[in-house]
Amino acid sequence: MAPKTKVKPKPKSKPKPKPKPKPKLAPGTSFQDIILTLQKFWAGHGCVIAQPYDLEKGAGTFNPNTFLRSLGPEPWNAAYVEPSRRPRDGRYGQNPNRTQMFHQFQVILKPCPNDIMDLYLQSLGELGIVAQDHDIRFLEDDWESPSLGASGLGWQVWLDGLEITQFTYFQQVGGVELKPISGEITYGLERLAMYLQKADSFWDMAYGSGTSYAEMFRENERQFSRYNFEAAEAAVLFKDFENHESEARRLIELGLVLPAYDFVVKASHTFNLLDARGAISVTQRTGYIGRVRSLARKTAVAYLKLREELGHPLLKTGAA
Amino acid sequence: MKKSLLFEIGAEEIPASYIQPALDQMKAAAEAFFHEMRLSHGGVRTEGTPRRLALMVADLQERQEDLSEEVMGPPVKAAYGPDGKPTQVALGFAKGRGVDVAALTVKTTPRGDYVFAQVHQAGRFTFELLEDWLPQLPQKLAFPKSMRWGEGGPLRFARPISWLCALYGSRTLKFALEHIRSGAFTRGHRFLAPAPIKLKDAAEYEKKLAHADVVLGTAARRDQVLARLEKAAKKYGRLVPDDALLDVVANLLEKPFALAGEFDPAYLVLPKPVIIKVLREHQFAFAVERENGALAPVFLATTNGIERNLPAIREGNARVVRARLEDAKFFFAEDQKTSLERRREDLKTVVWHEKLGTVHERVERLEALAGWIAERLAPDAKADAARAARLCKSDLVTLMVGEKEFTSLQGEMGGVYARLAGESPAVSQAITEHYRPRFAGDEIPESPAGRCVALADKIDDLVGSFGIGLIPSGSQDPYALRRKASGIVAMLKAKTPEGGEALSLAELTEAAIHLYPQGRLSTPPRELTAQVMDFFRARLENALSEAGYEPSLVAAVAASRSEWVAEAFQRAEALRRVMDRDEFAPAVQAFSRVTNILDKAGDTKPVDEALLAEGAERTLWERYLAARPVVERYCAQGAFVQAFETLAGLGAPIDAFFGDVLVMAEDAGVRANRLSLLAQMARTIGLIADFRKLVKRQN
Repeated sequence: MAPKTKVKPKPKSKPKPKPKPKPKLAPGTSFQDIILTLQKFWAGHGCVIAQPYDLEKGAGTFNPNTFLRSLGPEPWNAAYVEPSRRPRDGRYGQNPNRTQMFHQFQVILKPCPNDIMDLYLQSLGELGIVAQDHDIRFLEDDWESPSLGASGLGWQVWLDGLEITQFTYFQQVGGVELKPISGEITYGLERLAMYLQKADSFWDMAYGSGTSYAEMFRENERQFSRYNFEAAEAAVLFKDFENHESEARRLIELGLVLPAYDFVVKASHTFNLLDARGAISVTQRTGYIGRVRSLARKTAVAYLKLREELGHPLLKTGAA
Repeated sequence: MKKSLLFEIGAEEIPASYIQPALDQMKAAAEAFFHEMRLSHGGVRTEGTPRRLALMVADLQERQEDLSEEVMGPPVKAAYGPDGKPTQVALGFAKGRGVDVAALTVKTTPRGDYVFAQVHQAGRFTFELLEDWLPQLPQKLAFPKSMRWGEGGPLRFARPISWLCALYGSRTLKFALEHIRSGAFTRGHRFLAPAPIKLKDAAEYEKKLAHADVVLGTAARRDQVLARLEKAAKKYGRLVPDDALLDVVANLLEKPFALAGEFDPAYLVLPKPVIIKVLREHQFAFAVERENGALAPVFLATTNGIERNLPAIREGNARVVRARLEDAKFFFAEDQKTSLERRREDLKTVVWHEKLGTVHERVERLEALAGWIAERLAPDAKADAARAARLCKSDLVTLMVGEKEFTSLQGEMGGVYARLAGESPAVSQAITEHYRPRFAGDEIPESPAGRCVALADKIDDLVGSFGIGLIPSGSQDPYALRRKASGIVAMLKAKTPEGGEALSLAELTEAAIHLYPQGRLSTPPRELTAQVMDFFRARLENALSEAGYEPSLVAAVAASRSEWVAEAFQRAEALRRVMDRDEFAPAVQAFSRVTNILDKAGDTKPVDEALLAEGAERTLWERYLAARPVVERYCAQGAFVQAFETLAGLGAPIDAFFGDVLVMAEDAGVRANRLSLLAQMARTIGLIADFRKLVKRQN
């Protein structure tokens, strides 16, 4: 059997143009155009456009703008891009749509408005996806993050059979039952771009301003796949994990919740690296996940206390 | 006057599997409510789609009947004092029933004189009752998971409730559920008919929905999906039927439409079950097969009624199918680079159960056990069975099965990889089959080696689980041990060599226990065997009942020699054939008398012929001695009708014995000798059944 390679669509017997011309990019469908459109849309609906949080993490949920802000009574509406790392998913840049780093566009609306689904569909309209012309489905997909002690109910959104978004009503974060409930919309930016650009592979996509997605990230995939699977030094990572864990505990004791949370995020990513490296056995896995969850819980409780001590300022200003 | 009722709970997309159970609950709750409220109606119907759960009641009575009934109160003695004045007891009763104390009457009943109240209750209007009750209904529905939304509850539902539409006839029922107010508006298809629709009457609901691109009935939607799929398949071959998927898909849509898309025939190198799984599990899509059963390079996808822009929808789906098949092809190719033999090493890191060790330890046991079973059941298949068992779990660590892609293809993939790696057809077939039967009524493995591995797999699981106290109780059976034990019963029942049976449940159980390392199982071997045998007996009874044997017969057969499965079925069949004969009832009586004595016998010794009394006792003994070898030979041949007939010939001597001879003789030696005689006979009778379980039927 041949090793995995991209299957190029074989020319069929149908009449075809001689040299296969590069399909022209439809306006507004480059990777960066999609980001700009979504940012503009959600800013227009009262979201603060935040920036990615400057730590490696598995998903936009880890950004404090979601994890911490979804806790407690204060309203919060934010949108931001989040580069997300899943070391185990690396394929050395060989797989058309599986990578160890990808981008989420994350929207968090707290409390979730009654028309949140309509807003989401409007945002697709801004991207040129008209609901009446496509098969858009909301398919049951309950979400759970064992390491964050977080869970929610919702859907994966399908566009003509392609999953483009995770839509979740958070119920619990850091082991704390939420009230009010946050609605989380997580667009898979690469998936959306692939669809809009009619590309079969991430590596055929345009990033924007004349630069390809492959130019931006393919070498990263090769190098980081090698690092994640081959070069990462497990002994160092194990030590890192211990250090991050003890720092998080120490900082929570000191009341330094926000720095403490950084170390929770770092511990989680370090675990993911160890996992990808094959350094953690099946039996050990749940133990490590449990240790991160325990930190996440402590942080969540400490953060609730912090906001209370600050007098829940967003309630007073009525910010929305 | 009678009018129809509509109550529709509009919600954001409800999970497909939640819909039917919720509709069943709504129907039951409504029927109970109308019964309790004394409201007649012309039938309750519930229907649903992903966006709505609807309760429809035809010809619902408009007002409750007035209720007039006589209610019995306290005895007269307690109700009135010596002065004839009503006591606190009477006052309390009258108040509780809402009548004046002076209106109480006294009546004589068989239990004495009692106070009665005549209670009148004016019937209430149905719409009032509904406005009180309907808001409670959504909160009564139980879902596998429910959620809070918005401000955070306390209201919970499967997904956020978007609207409530409630009409009784033309009257809009007004109520509120937290912040959601009921009204006369429903909604059509989310995209094709998004505007709210005002209903003038409950009766026009389904028609209006149909105009708004919603097919309300689940069954109608299912039929339409199927018709659309078959139509789309026609050009390429025929739809590969999948009823379970059809049920799911029908509840993912409000308006069915289907389309066919093609994929590169190069992907047909993948095994058929893999392609079907890829389409099904990732895309809710169906496969198409040609006349010869081979797959066509085609998938069938459904849309939620969207028929415009089909090329884009088809291409979108095709791109995803292509990527999924590409993944599967990659897994398939990668998996073949490592042999199943080498993957056994990886099984050392896979924990089967933390108290029971790794899967590697398990396959070591299975190899020994399957070989041992084959020696007993199918000596020719011994090498194949052992080899298959050795490799049977290796596919758990392949990419295809292990990477959470297609867990349900376990066994299937192992068989495919074994075949491709050059294992014999018998070995690969045995690997493929060894999880069977996978569910009640599923086929047992076809090949002898497959049966041996399947038996080993299941009994190892069973004794391991029982051995650490994981014993099913009531409805709790998380490891499906009942199904596995029933599978063993089915396999041992199915094929037996002529004239006997090579392996008993007890031997199988003991062999499996023996292979566990010392100390791994916390229950001691003898106790464990007994527990497992009790469990098997219940499964055997279940299997006999399902085969149509009546309860007393099942009990009689299972109460003796239940460790021999095939024989138990032969015994049951023999008894069924003789039980309507004239001699059956007297024989059962006679045998039962013998067997009953056995409980009192204690330790028995060989019969001392010198102590036998002349007459009935000696006659019985001699007749028995003559019959015993005949009965035993018939039993060994599985000829239980003849065995019964032979034993039935002892009926008269037995009756004569009990008539003439005092078993509990004063002389201890004589008494013990008689008990020994009966005990020996009881053992012979027990070769067929415990006839005492049949006595009741005779009366």
